[in-house]
Parts: sequence; C-alpha cells; structure tokens
Amino acid sequence: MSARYVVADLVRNPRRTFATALGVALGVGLFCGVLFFVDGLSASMTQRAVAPLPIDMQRIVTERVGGVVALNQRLSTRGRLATGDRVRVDLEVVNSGTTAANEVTVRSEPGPGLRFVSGSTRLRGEPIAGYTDNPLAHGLGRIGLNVGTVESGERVRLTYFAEATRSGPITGTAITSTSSSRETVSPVPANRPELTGLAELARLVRRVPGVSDANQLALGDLGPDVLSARGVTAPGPTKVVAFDDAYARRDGSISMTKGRLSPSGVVLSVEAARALGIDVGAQVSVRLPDATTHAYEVTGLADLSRARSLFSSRRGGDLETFVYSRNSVVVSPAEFDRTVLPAYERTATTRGARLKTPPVREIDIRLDRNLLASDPATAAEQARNTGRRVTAVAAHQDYLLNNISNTLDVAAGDAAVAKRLFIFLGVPGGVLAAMLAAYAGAVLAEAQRREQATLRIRGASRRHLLRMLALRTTILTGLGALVGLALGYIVAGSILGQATLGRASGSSLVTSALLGSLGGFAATGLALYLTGRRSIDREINEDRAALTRRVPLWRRVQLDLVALIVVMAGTVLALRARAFDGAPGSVYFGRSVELNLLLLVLPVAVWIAGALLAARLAGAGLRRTQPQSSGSMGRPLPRLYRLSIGRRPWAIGNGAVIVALIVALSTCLAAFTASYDAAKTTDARYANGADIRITPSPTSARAYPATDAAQFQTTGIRRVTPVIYGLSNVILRSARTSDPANLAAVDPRTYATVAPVTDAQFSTGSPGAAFARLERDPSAVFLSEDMADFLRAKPGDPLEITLVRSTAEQVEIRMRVAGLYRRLSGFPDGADALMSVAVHTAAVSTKTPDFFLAATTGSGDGALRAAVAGLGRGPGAADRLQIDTRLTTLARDQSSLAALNIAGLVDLDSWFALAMVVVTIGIFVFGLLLSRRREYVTLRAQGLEPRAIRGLIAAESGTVAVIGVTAGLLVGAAMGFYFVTVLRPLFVLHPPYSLPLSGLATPTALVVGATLLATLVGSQLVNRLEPTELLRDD
Amino acid sequence: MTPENAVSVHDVVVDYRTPRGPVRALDHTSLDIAGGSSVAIMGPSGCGKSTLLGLLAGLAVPTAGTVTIGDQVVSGLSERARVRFRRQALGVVYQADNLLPHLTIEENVALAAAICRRSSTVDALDVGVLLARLGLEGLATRFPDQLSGGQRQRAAVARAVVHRPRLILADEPTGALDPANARGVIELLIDLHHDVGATLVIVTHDPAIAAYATTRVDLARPATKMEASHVG
Repeated sequence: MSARYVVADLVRNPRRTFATALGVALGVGLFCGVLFFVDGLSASMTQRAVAPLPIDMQRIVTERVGGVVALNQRLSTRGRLATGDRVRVDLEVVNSGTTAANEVTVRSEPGPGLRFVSGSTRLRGEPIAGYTDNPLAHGLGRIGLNVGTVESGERVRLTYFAEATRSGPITGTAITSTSSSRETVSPVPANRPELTGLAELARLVRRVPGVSDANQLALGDLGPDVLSARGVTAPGPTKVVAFDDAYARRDGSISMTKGRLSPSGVVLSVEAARALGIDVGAQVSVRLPDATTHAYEVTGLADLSRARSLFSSRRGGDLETFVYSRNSVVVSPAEFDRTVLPAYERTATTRGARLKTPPVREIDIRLDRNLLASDPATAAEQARNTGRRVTAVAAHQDYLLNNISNTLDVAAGDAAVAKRLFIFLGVPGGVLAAMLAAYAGAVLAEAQRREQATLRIRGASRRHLLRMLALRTTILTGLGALVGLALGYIVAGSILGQATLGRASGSSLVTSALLGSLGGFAATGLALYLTGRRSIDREINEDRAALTRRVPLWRRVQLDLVALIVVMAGTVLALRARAFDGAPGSVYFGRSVELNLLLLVLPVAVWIAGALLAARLAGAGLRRTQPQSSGSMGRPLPRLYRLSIGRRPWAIGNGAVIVALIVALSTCLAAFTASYDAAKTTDARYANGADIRITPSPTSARAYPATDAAQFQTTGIRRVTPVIYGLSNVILRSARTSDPANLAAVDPRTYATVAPVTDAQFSTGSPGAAFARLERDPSAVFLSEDMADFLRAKPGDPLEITLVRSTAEQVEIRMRVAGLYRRLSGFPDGADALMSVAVHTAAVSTKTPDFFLAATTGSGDGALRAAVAGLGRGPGAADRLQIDTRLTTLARDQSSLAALNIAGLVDLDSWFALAMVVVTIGIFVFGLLLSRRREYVTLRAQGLEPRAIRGLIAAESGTVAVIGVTAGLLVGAAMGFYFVTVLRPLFVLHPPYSLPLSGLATPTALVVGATLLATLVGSQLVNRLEPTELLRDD
Repeated sequence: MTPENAVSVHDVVVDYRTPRGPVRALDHTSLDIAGGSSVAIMGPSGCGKSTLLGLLAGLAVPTAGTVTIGDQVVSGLSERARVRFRRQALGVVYQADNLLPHLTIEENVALAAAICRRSSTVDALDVGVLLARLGLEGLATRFPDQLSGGQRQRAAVARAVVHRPRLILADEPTGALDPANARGVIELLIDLHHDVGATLVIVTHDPAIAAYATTRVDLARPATKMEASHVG
C-alpha cells in the first residue's frame, strides 16, 4: 500500500520527481564521470610517458678495454668442516687479453663460519709481510691487494688459509673474491663465465620475452683534428659511432641523406663531409687514439643532428644533455671491434698515455611497447621484470640502464598524484551533489509537510512515514544513479574520446562504475533521507512557526567560522613550512612531481568558508532591510519583497549558498584552467626559446647570416632574432681559472622582444639595462651565476674568450663581465655566457647563427600553426629547415603530469557544475512555488496582478542569483588562487594567476538565464493554480 | 437595496473538464441578491457552492450564463478587469485564514488596503481602529502563527473588509472554529458588512451560522431559477 502510494505520489508530481532525480543524476554523473576520466587518462599514461624515450634499455658493457682479466678461485676441500679445520684458498689472476692490465687489485675474504688465518697469504709463492690482518681485505674499508701490472697472457697466483669457526658444510661461495683493474674499475667476481661478445649478446637479448629489438651500438670520442681528406682536416672534435643497418632503420632520428652503411667503409655526418669538401666515394683518413691512421671509403652521408640515441650524454647525472658532435664517423660494429676498440685498449694500457673518455659499448634494447600494461605502475613492474631477464643473459660483464622502467616509475608517481588530484577535482562536485540533494530534499519535505500531516491524521505512524520516505528516497536516488552512471560515461567519453576511454581495462571501468554509482547513491540518498526524516520528526505547528525563523544547521554549528579558521591556520602553517614550494618532476632524476596534496584542503576550505560567510553576511544584511511592522503598507510590492527577504533570510541564504558554491567552483576551475594553460605555454615557450625556433638543417649548403633574420619574418611572424649557440663552443678564461663553456650570442635589440625574458632571470640590473649594455658596449659579456662562481669572476672583471674553439676560425677576444644572470630561456642545456651577436660576427665573420627564434603575431595555437605554415610556404619551401615550436616542445615533454588533460577534466566538472546551477535555481523557484503557492494564490484573490506576482518571484530568485553569483565569483577567485598556488610544482616557471572573463561570464549568464526562465515558468504555474479549491483547504 | 452591490447570477452553467469527461458543477443556476443584504448559501457537498463563490469572486468564469455585480458583468470581464474588480470590490474570508505567514496581523490587513489603493480612491478603514474593533489591538504586531485560530480568523475578517468592498464572500468562515469563536466571528462579519455597506454572501453548512444572514438560499433545490428567500 505504502509503495503504491509513494509511486503514485512520484508519478503525480512529475516536476518534483524530475528535479530531485536530476539533482541526484548530476551528482552521480559527476562522480562516475571523474572516475571514468581517471581510468581513461591512466590508460594513456604509459604510452604517453614512453613515447619520447629514445632507448628503452641500455646494457652498457663495462669490460674489455685494457684487456680481459679473469680471477679463478679454488678451495682445497669441500664437504663438512669441523671447528678449527683449515681450508686453502687458491686464487689465480689470468690476463687473456692482448694488452697488459694495470693496477690489478684482488679482494678476497672468508664468509660467515670461516676466519682468515693471519700471515697465511702468499703472492707468487712468497709470503706477504707487513699486514696484521687479511691483506686481501685490509682495514676498515676491506681494501684489496694491488698486485700491479699483469701482462698479456700472464698468470698471477695467490693463496691463503681460512679456518672454520664452527662445524658445518663448506661450499664454493664460502669465500668471496673479486678482481678489478685500472681499465676495469667495476669488481669482477671470481670464476665468472666467459665474456659474451656484443653481437652475440644482442642476439641473446632479442630472444627475451617482451623485447622487440636489441642492437649493438658503440661510441667513442676521437678528439680534435683527427678527420682529414685530400689534405684538409675537419676542425674540432670527432666522434666515432658504430651501428648496423638494423639500428639505423629502427631509429627514425638517424637520417641517411646519401649512400649507405657498409661493413668496410664509413658514413660521415653531413657537417663533416662539408668541412672536408668531400662526397660519397671519396677517401677519408681517421686518426685513432693510439695515433694510428686508417683510411676508409666514404659510402654514405647522414644527418645525425637529431639522433638523441647517439648523442645523449652517457654520464650519470647528466643524462638529459644532448652532446652533439658535428664531425661524426659511422663505422660497422665489426670494424669498431677490429680496429677502433684495440686502439683504445692500447692507449689505455700504455704508460704515460691518457685516455680521457673510454668508448661506450652497449646493447640498445627496445621493448614491445604494445605489451606494456596501460597503467604505468604495472607497466613499470613489467619493464623491471623484463630488465631482470635481460640482465640474467650473460651476466656480470655489464650493467643495465632501465630507462623505460625509470620513466614509468616517474609516470606511475605522477599518475598517483594525478589520480588524487583528479579525485580532489571531483570532490567539490560530489559535495555539491550531496548538498543539492539535501536542498532538493528540504524543498521536497517542505512541500510534503501538508501531505504528511494528512497522512498522520488518517492514522499513519512515524514508522509508516519513515518507511515511505526510505522508499521514495530509494526510488529517486536509484533512478538518478542509473541515469548519472550513463551520463558520466557518455560525458567522460565525449571529452576524452571513446578510443582513449576504451583503452581502460574493463575491471577498472566496472570498479569506477560501482564506486561512482554506489557512492553517489549513498551520498545523495543519505542527504535526501536525513532532510526528509528531520521534517517528519517536526511537529506541524512547530514547523509552521519555525518557517520564518529557523537558522540552518551550518549556521548553528558555525561551520563557516570553523572553515575560516582552517583556511587561516592552514595558510600560516603552509607558508611557515614553505609547503607551497614543491619540486617539479624530472624523468632523468627519477623524480615524480612533488605535490603536497594535503594542501588541497585549503582551496576546499576557502570554498566552503567563503560561500557560508557570504550567506551569513547576506542573511544579516537582508534582516536589516525588513521594515518595522506598521498599519500602512505604502507601495505593496516593494514592501512585500522587503518583508519576505527580511523575515525569511535563510530561504534566500540557503539558495544563495548552493549557487555561490557552484559558481565558485566554476570560477575556480576556469581560473585554474586558464592559469594551467598559460603556464604550460610559458614553460614550453621558455624551453623552446620563443614561439618558434628555426634551425637551418645541417644538410643545407646555404648559409644564413645574422643579418638575414628578416627573411624568416613571413606571414604571422612578428619578429625574428638570430642566436649563435653551441655546447662547449668557447673557452672562458678569468684571472683565476678557465673552462669550456656554452656561449649564447644574441641580438640585444630583438632578443628580449622575441624570447620570454623576465626580471627574475637577471641578478644584476634589469633585462632592459642588460641588453642596452650589450648593444652599446662591444666588450660586454654577461655570465651565468654558476659560471661566474666557478671562474670567480664578478662584474667589471676582464674575461678572455676563445670563440669557436677547436675550429680553424678559433679566435681569442678580451671582454669584460658586465653583469650576471640566473638563466636564459631557449637553452635547455644551459648558457654560461651571453654576448652580442654583432660582436661575435665581427670577431668570426664566417660563423653564422645556429638558429633563429621567432615570435608570432598572435598568441593562440592557431596563430602559431598559421605562422609555421607561412614559413613552410616561404623559406621552408626553398631550403630544408628544422622548425620547433612551443607545441612540439610541449609534446616532447616527458613529464606526464604537466601534459595531462586537466582541461578535459575541468571541462567535465564545469559542465556538470553549470548544469547543477540551473537545477539549483530551478529547485529554488519551484520550491518557492511549492511552499508559497497559498501565499501567491491569496495575493491573486486579493487582486494582485499575475505580473506583480511574477515580479515578486523574480525579485526573490534574483536576490538569490545576485548574492550567489557575487559571492561565487569572489570565493571562486580566492579558491582558484589557492588551487594554482598548491599546484605550482606542476610547472617549471611559477604560473601566473589569470582569471578569464569568459570563465566568469558563463556561470553568471547561466544563472541569470536560469533565473529568468524559472521565474517565467514558475509564474505561469502560479496562474494556473485553482485558487477556489486551494484557498478552501486547510 | 444598493444597486451597485446587487448580485445577479443568470442561467449559469459551469462544466469542469476531468480525465473521465466533463462534470457539470452548476446547471443553469440563477440567483439574485439585493445589494447590501446578507445571504447564506447552503447545500450538500458537491452541489456547487464553492464554484458559485468562485464565479462571484471573478476567480473563474462560467461555461454559459452571466454573473453581474451591480452594473458590472463580471463573467464577461477580461482577466485584467476581473483582477481590478477583485481588488476594488471584493473581500473574501475562507475557512482557512490564508494570512501571509511572514506578515504581522496589521501588515496582513494593511496589505489588502494597499492593494486596493493601487487603483481606487476609496478610503480604506483605519487598520488600527479596525483591529481594535475586532479585539486584536494588542496583537497587531504578532505573526499569524502566534495567534489562536479564532484570532486569526478575526484578522482574516478585518482583511476582507478593510478596503470597504462592495461584496464580501465568506466560504465556511467558521468551519474551523469552536462554537463560541464561530459566533464571535460571524457576528463581527455581519456587523462589518453593515458598516461598509457591502453585500455579504456566506457559504456554510451550519444552519446556526446561516441564521445570521437575512436571506438563505439552498443550492440543492432543483429549481433552475432561485430567488433569495428571506428567513426569519
């Protein structure tokens, strides 16, 4: 019976049912939408994180140069030992290489249950004197014994005794022994199996499950002036590289411009070929480190200027640096092993010879990325497992750089931060949904007060009423949850794209669906039920009396003041603890973005405190507008309005709180998106140097002097500035010391108008003054703070600079330090010194700019694309140009968190928030009608025109809208500021806080529109009420 | 008899549309009430009393027939003109007081006068004096929920007469009151209708209340043309 009554009630009151179910659907939809969105994004994180990675794994071979030294170990006895039994340890160092091994160190010590027998050690049969402890593990550091040089083919024998300290079995691993040498620094364990060659190692690694390809690569620095042909020497250092066709095919950044790789010939970089003035088919001489010279036929030319796999630094802590060598020689791996490697070995083992940088030999491994799980944490574990299997293949002769695992670890950390961040972004929506449901519930309960009274009169007990309420709540929230679930999926899919959402695993989607729908069902259902229950528990008379005076619960418990205290205390504590200064993420440092997510409580507290405080102030203000009771009403409409809002301020206040919360959330999200987008663009622009970077291709024969910058000023480009820059392109010499350095020479008149330059970048004076100084003072050079510190140079000090070092044009000029700077944009590898390009050109006339920076006329992405298209039609059509933009830089950004589609989630939140604001206004207006319809009909019966009643409804709902929107915009601006401040570590540069007008206009316009529409519809409904019947009822 | 207060209902038919088809609430009903008199309309539930009251109040229009108040054919007026008519010429007392809950008693009464003043030059009664006459002088600044049922109904009476209407309609005005309070309210209503010179139409089930009216009409009578009959 109750069920039938409830269902009939819901069907007969479609507006109430619809409004409440819609509120629930929006809340659940937002919950589910956010969770689906997180699923979809997490699923794309793995692929996005690994996309820019040039090499997934590197097995770096550590041995070989300087000979192969092996340590053989044998024990005199096996089986069980009784306490006090002795065992003899025989160690033999064998050099099976072709060259001597220097400073060979043997380290050996007994394990648990054994102790070294003092004085028992013999080297080459002779006792070793001068040690009171084990000479093979001496002192606190357990230092091994240096047995000196071991010549090729020589064997060195060592023996000592160990004594059992307890009875037990003895195994081959009871004694731990290793050997190392000057040439092989990493200790090699005794009895290690035979070394596996690079080609064989690559073949074996290729078989490991999860590995899609493995190719050998060898790299070596040959030093300056080693490459010559027809009597011409290519100036500057040369790099020798060894890879095969398979490697070249796999690595898209290696571009063969002419000819091919061959087993006996060499391929030259296009810059080297140009410097030598030769082409394919010519002969070239290469001087190797041991001073031997080898002649090769040039079988091909290659553009290697973007080959990150070849030129990324292999030095630990410096892996981000792109160490490009213009002069490069590519030989076959076989030729490297046959000729180049022995030359290094000979140099390494020759007394007096200095091998500054040993060659690097490695297997570059690419995983089958399609097999990686979509979740970065799972993918990282998969990559680690694959890494372990790769390491197990022919172990102990190398080490593994698991780049992909490190990248995925960072991505997993970022994904975890992102999930929490996203859930935080969804939380206000969830809170709103519950509040909206409670608000709808309150309005519904008020409307049902009369029905409940009737039911009580007819004999319904409190239990009956509660059961009916529970049933009504279940039906409404169940219906809303189902619709919300579908809505969330559709909205998330439409924002992310169905393909992205489809990549998420079924289990994660099902979990999200259950979590979102059940969570939303519980939150909104509870809000509806509790509000209704409170209404049932009130006596009818008390209810009526309390209508005008009841203070809402939040006000009674002073929730606004509590939230305000949380904001103030939290801000002070965070500032004192410098908690807002997180650390940006770095893949190369293996560090995820450090976000103190506890701080996200602050914007939420600002949000709640602000909206409630606004309602408290509005309530106090409205109460003051009520006139004293009088027997004269004057103009009835304004008086009625003032009496209504002045004596029922909480009806306005509660509606305004919900509107303010929604508008604040929408404003905050708009501010965050604008700031986030601006910061991403600023970061990318800073890294790129400007909107566009134009680099003449090394394959181009055309020279672009600095004075030619204007030729790049095509459609959509505002200004172009030339830049001379290179890694270690100069030597800086102060009075105290000197060092190779990266010098940037820029045009002081145009650089600051093209590249992003801020006051914070210069530590002495302003950027304007610095560039003015560079323009007027030809001897002025600016130094980075780090370089000035290293050189111990300060402003005013003289500085000798060797320009275009290691080239035929190398020249020394005398400059004076004019000032210091912290950093310059456009030089990710760092710029140590800054001078005028005109001064540089005057000193070295042949040196043309390495690249040009260009600023577009418009600031949007469309303007940028148009400018790039213009360049392609203009100078790009006549010559090959490498064009990098802030967008391509952003796409290369490996920090998966900064590249996240936060804007998408914000869109999702915003749409739901805007829908909720419409529903809130609708509920307010229709709630007014439900609770005040008798008032309106009484006024009609007294002769008040319909338009006057419409005016009254409009005035009250307008008051809610005005207070809600005003408070919402102010609170949203403050909330957005906190939000941006908390999320600052997502960016390299501090993001500027921007509040877009469009972001403010949308919710405002929507609230105004919804108010007008609801008022019109509402007043029409009032006019359709049947006064005769309504006024008769009691 | 005051001609501008006379009430004439001529051959009125009112049909309601319902999901189960049209229902006739009034079937060719006619009624003439002399201006300034008081009439009690009686009849069983569903005989059309409230419908008739709605027609007189200009809150509804008949399907056929005419309703005339004085020389104004109310049933032929536009919605706007009927609103003006209600504002100037009508006072209504219901079984429920229908006072606005957020207005004090004096404000509720003054509001009716203020609404009337918007389009009328008639001097309204003094609210304070009126409330004093109704025994509500000390309760003027109280809210409706702070008054008893009888006090609230007296306030509703004050609201119905404060703007000196030509016609006062009372729909079961004492239905929710105890006999003593009911007597007090009806006596006040009769007194005040005399004072302001209005025609009073009371719909009631209670013969004791009907007895206060000068004329009584039984709407259940099958006659299609009824004359207001004097009682007593």
